[in-house]
Amino acid sequence: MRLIEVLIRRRSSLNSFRDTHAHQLRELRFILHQLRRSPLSLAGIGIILTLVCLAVFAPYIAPYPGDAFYDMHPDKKLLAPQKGHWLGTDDFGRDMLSRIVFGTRLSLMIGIYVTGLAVMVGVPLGAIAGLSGGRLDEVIMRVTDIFLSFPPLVLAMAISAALGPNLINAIIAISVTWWPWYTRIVRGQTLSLREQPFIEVARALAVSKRRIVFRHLIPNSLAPVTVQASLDVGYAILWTAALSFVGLGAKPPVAEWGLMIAIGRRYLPDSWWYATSPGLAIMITVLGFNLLGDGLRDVLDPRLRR
Amino acid sequence: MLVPVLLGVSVVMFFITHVVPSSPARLIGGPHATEETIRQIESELGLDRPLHLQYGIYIRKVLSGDFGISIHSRNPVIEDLKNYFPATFELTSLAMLITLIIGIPLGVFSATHKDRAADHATRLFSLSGVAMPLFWLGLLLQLLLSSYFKLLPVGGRIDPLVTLLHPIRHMSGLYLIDTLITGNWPAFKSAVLHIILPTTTLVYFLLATLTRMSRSSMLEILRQDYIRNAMADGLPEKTIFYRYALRNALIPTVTIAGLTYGLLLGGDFLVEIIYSWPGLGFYAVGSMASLDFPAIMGVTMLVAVIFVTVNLIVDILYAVLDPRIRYG
Amino acid sequence: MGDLLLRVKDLYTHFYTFEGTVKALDGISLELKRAETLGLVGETGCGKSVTALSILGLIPCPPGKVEAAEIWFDGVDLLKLDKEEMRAIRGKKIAMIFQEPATALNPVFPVGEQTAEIIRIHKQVSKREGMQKAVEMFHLVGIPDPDRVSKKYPHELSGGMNQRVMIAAKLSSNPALLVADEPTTALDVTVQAQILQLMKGLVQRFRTAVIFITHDLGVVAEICDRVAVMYAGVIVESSKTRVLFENPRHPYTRSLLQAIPKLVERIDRLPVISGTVPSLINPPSGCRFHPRCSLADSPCKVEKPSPTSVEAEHWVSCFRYDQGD
Repeated sequence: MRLIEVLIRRRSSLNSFRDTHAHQLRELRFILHQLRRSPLSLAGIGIILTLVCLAVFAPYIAPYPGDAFYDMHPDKKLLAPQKGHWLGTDDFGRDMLSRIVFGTRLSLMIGIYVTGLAVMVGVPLGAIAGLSGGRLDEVIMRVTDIFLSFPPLVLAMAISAALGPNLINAIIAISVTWWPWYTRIVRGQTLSLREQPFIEVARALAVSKRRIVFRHLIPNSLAPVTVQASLDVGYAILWTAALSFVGLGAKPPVAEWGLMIAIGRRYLPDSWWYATSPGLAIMITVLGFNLLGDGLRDVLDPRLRR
Repeated sequence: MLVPVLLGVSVVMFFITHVVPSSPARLIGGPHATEETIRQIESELGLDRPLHLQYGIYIRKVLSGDFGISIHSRNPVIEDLKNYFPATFELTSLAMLITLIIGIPLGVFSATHKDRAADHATRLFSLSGVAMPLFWLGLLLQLLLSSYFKLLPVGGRIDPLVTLLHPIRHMSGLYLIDTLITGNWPAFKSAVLHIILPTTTLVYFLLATLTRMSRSSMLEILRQDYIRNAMADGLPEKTIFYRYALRNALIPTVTIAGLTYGLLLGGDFLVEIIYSWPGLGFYAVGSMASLDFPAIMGVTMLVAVIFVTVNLIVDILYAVLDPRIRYG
Repeated sequence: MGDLLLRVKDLYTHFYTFEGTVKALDGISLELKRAETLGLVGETGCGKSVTALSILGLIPCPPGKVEAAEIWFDGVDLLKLDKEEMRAIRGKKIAMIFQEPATALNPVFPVGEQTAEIIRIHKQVSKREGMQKAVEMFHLVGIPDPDRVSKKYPHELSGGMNQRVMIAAKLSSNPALLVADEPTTALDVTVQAQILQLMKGLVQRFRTAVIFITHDLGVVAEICDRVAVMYAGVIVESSKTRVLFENPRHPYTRSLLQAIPKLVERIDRLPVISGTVPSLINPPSGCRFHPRCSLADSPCKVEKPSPTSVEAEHWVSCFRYDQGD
């Protein structure tokens, strides 16, 4: 009997959740519907899900997990793609496929760390700038101006070079150059929302400032931040790879895609597979996040709705 | 805008390059230098003084046109910049020009054929361009066109042998223009052959961004009332798309194109490194690897000046394109 | 019927959206003679604008879809024309004025140039002649100093002035039919009256037929020869203007007229029509007005009423129009 009671209660609480969040649920259904209708976005989701699976199950998927770390097989140096080594081997005789699979894990982590750091710094600053206005706003925006007037890679390279080139510093360096974008987006969003009738109404009804920020401003700024973040995970991966490529990021023997291209470059044109496969991996990954971001933008941008 | 940005940029960069764990003096002295030699080098470079004093001295020198001596190349930094910048300018401008000519019509076409096969193809192409690592694309092109088919040179700006036989008279520093004006055909041909691959690589990347941008701003404009009005007036589609809509869509597109151009002038590092293109990016990466602070600072300052200038030009263009701003 | 200009028969326009199929128009039929002004009246979202856009072939498809037995205009069935032939008619024979003059004019071209462009396309004249004609038209619609104004951008002119520019542009090709979609709604009240007077004078002079879309019955009384009242994608009643005001037969028309405040009577509360405008995705069965109708009976819920003639040129789509006086 108790069990039934619990079930009934849970059922009714689910119903009341449905009622109170009817609007959000409808919104979510709409987003899913739109995403489903766009083949490109679906492809993006498919790519990302596959990559996540690869990353999570890397030790089980990679044929030679040890090759992603310190294993060496001097007798199998620079083998062309063949049975057993579908993507060939590198200059230490390590299986390229295994290294690329483990590289997925690393790249996704890099992407998430960089984007996460940038969001954590950029979003609050943007909200503060947009809400406070005046002096503080001016100062924050001038600082973002300065950061944005560096060519994208120069600052990251300088920071990485100065801190001492390694993967962690590369992640920090790229995050440092990235946060201003979020500050701008959130500030712009906050400014335009402040003028919206529903915020004015809330103000006129003497809704507390805190509630306005958390119930209205932040949820409504979420859409553009989500879109930007999903695009940025891809770009962060791309940039870290670029830093590694010029020698300011990951250091051997780390299985990082950009670094693999940099080393593979030395063995061109004879061992063409060495530099090509990691590049393809980067491209597919970034493409996946781009497709998702574009799809989300189409869905979340209310101006595009009919 | 110029002064605060320059000051800010120089402070940020100065701070980053001077509060670092690795010491340039140790790098110059080499691994076997004694503590004493290192301290001597440091005092020569002024690195033993407090940071804000170092910065003050640096700014004062910069204001009198002295960017210091590059530790790496032993030349005055300003000379190095003069030598390296034209190469970047030539490459970037050519790539941007080609991109604008192809990208804008492509974006318009994609927008006016929304959700049809041509649109999907264009979108996929531009997405692939954004997603593709630039340095990797460069390697592939090199592999294919230089190593495999042997059609184009692997890298560099011009064949040194050709310049030996047909010396270039340096006027603008842009090889294509200098050789063309002086009628130096062998050198011109060599310069053209060398610039094809880096330009193609850069165009592929730029095209991706610009096509996306012009497509989305076109789509935005095509939803406007005045487009429906123009249709109700029975204007031909060509007039509506290419005159009425494009003129409006150009406004945001030009902004993005200008900003991208400004950023690239600061050094399209990856392309320059892959093709050993002796431009600003090539120089900057070299100086960073050797912690050549005067050079890094010099590049940074130049880049900031370029960026602000391009911004200004974009603002002016904006006003030309949008009458609401001209009178606003 | 020699001077018939437009005959729309059984026009259905639907939009296919995420929420479902929006049946925006559900069998619209209307006729218009040359030089006649027809008022199309109804609440926001009842399908007035969609009717106009459907006639002009400006419904974007997808998501829209336009079907009709015929849209006969001056000897041709517009539905049978291809894109290019339709374009040649738009602007030249059928012109349309939109509600918001500020956004309907292109912000980056001077108004004179925009007008000249339309003239150039439809009259095949040179750029200079087009410009001259544009200035003439500006003069005609009462724009002071037309030469100077023609070089101005839309954002530099007032709403009334922009609407005058629009009228000049639209009438420049001397169209047989002018569709005006709430041309005065976005303007100040005093300007509204001026623009109305201007339009009335010009269409009489050029013998232009007009479909005048509005939700303002006062405007209808002032300038329309005939009126069609729309409700939820259907025309519920149509007649000569005077007849409609004196002898409205459809319950919806009656409540509309009762909702107009009168100067002579003193009432505390204006009567309102109970209920809300129905969803066009899931419209009520039978007569679309029945959920809000005080006279509704069982057949009203099942069957769709078809237009019935009550007197000469007075049609009403209601089963119970003779009740409840």
